[in-house]
Amino acid sequence: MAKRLLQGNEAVLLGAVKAGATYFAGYPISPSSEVLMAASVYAASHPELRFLQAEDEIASANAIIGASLAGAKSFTATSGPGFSLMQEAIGYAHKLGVPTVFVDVQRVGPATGMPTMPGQGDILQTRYGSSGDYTSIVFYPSTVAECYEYTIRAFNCAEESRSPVVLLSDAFLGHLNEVVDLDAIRVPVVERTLEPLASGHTRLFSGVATYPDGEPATADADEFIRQYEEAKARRLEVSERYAFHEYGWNKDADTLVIAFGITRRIAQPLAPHFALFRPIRIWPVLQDELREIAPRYRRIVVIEGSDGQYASVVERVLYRDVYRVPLLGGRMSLEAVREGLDRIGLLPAELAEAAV
Amino acid sequence: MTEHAIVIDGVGGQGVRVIGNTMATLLGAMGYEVTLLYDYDSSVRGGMSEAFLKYADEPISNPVVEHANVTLRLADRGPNHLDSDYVVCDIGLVKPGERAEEIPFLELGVKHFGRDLFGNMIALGRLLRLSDVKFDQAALEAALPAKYREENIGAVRYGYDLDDTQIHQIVPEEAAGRFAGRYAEAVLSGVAMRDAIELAGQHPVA
Repeated sequence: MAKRLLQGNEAVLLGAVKAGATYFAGYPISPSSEVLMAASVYAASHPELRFLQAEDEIASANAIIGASLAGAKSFTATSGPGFSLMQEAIGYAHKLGVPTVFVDVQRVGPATGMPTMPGQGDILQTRYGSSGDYTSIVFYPSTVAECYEYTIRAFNCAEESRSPVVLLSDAFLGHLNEVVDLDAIRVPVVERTLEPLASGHTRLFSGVATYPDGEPATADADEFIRQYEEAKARRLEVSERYAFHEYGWNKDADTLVIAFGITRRIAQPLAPHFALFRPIRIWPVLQDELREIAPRYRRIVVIEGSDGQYASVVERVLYRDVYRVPLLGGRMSLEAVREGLDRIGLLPAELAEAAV
Repeated sequence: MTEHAIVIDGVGGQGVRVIGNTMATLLGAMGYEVTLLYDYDSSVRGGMSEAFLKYADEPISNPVVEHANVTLRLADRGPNHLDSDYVVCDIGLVKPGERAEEIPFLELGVKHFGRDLFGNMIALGRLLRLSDVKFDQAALEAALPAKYREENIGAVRYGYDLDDTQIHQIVPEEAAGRFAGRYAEAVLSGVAMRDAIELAGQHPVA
């Protein structure tokens, strides 16, 4: 296939197909709706992909869990408010160990917020949105080509970790068209090994704490902890093989910029003046990498489309304060980055002059 | 070549996406690296609709345009901080101090191709000329939808071939003012935007 102009949301669908997805369920919501639309169009001519537009996001989330248990690689796509509605089902999928993929194309929230404007305010929701303790694995690409690549990797990681995996995007990345050559992106596909339903023996899929034979274990702390630690260890071990990140720009600078998703793209003109750390695997947080790189820099600035969600994570991991440049209200622009850096006294003179 | 940045500024329903998609597809087919980003309000019609288009020989990092080489302004809804070396716009949309030209695209679409929607393709042609994009017929054909392909090609060519003398003949200042006046009068009396353009264009400007 030659190079072609492709939208980020469409690249997610093509990545899912490449990864072997055979089931999509979703409910339209800006700015993720093109994933649903593309899935619908694709399914019309490719019956191997089953498509369901469900009555809401709750049904969509539970449908992809059921489809996965039945043997299908499955996924859904939504945005912040829909992702909130899916949290109960996400917790259920973590409890059962269901491999499936949730795509969250972020917009400005909370609530309905600004439906078509880009935000990055779901960073913590992807980690702590459901109740109880669980180990989230979350990826956040920055280009249309990466939307394709990391959708495949998200499916692979879900199979290996036996857990729901989240692919983050945002309104700008989802609606961005770029010239891409998908054939040049070669990611081996991890095949499904879990036994599907109707395999000949009885199994119980319960959100309740149970013993392996299905009997309730609702008052057995030892059994709960055993199962929890086993799932956590598997997910952490698998996620170590997916520790994707970018470290570059001017590594000799005295300030490290941390940016991800579309924010990293917008901040590119800062390259001569700052070092860059871009986490692609957002969760589990890349603490080994951060702890190795951060001591080389006097200052750390986190530029993100939220009021310091990832910055607070970095501070916790590094035990030091970081500067914050929040890009709020959908103002994802170099001008907003410049204003933010100027406010904290870190705007390089050359960039200040360029803005005049 | 260095990055070339274009902004198409309009409102929902005006054809910002048609122009943006066609130009980006054409440039991609010509071998350029292209980014095309839509920034729009959630109102389906009447809300802000922007297309940020960049192309270059090398991959493009920041797809958001804050300084455009050329802006095509079909309505004035763009971000306040956006500036542009040159603006081509429909009648009555030039701002003080801008290097700009006015062309009644929709009216020309009606006059030369029978429908206002071909005005978008005339605007695309002018945008390609101002951006010095030397396209070939095959690449343009491939970038256009099959429906009305011949008319669309004709309209793009018409816009591309316009020269400054012709533009001044089409839009003498006084006539442009008359068109803008009729258009404003129609909109204020409750006529829909598209119908107002047609009404204003029923009295050819030159």
